[in-house]
Amino acid sequence: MNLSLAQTIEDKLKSALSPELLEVENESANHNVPKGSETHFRVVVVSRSFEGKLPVARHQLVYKALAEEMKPGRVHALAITSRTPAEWAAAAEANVSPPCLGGSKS
Amino acid sequence: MSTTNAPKLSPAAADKIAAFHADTVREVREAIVRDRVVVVGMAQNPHVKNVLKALEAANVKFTYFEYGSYFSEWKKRLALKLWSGWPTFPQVFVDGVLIGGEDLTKEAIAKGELGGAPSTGAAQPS
Repeated sequence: MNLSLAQTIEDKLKSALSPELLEVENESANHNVPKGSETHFRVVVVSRSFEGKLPVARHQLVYKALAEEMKPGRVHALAITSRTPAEWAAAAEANVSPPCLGGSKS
Repeated sequence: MSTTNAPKLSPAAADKIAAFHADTVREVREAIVRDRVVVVGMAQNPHVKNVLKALEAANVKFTYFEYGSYFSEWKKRLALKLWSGWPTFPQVFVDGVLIGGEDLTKEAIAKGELGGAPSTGAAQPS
């Protein structure tokens, strides 16, 4: 059985960071890749594991959990929003991924 | 800051990386233990210039290392990237920890996380 990459990402982040909120969105359709691709993702993670950690350390936790998925040829772009529950309660705003710059689709 | 793929690295490759411009990496490692704020950059790069300007404007004392420019010393910079795990310059370290590049440093300044005196020229405790 072949899990979708999105599902794998979700499972791995769940077990690594036990997030209180987790969103995994496949944004590949916004980019210049074949239909149905799983190359560009956006994740929103709200987790206690981020408490007391700077943004770099938070992203390192996410990348560590997804080491297998981030290998060349798999996920090409990952936009990460990493917040602690307290920060999320104060401002529940996710980062917005930048627009596609890799060749026009039109 | 070990890289996530460290276990897959062959011992020979790991040795090579460890020895690659080790003096440069040592210089930075020693500085980030010694000095509170350390910026590692390169000549001409606008993001490096921006971060230096922002730190100066916020009256944050820092140590600056410059390794070459676009056509020089790229191997030293490569060694630093392999060591820090950060792919671009500037690289800003606070209390021995990499806090990021231009954007994250500006955020940290805005949040007052780097201390520094208000830009009224008040004396800094050292």
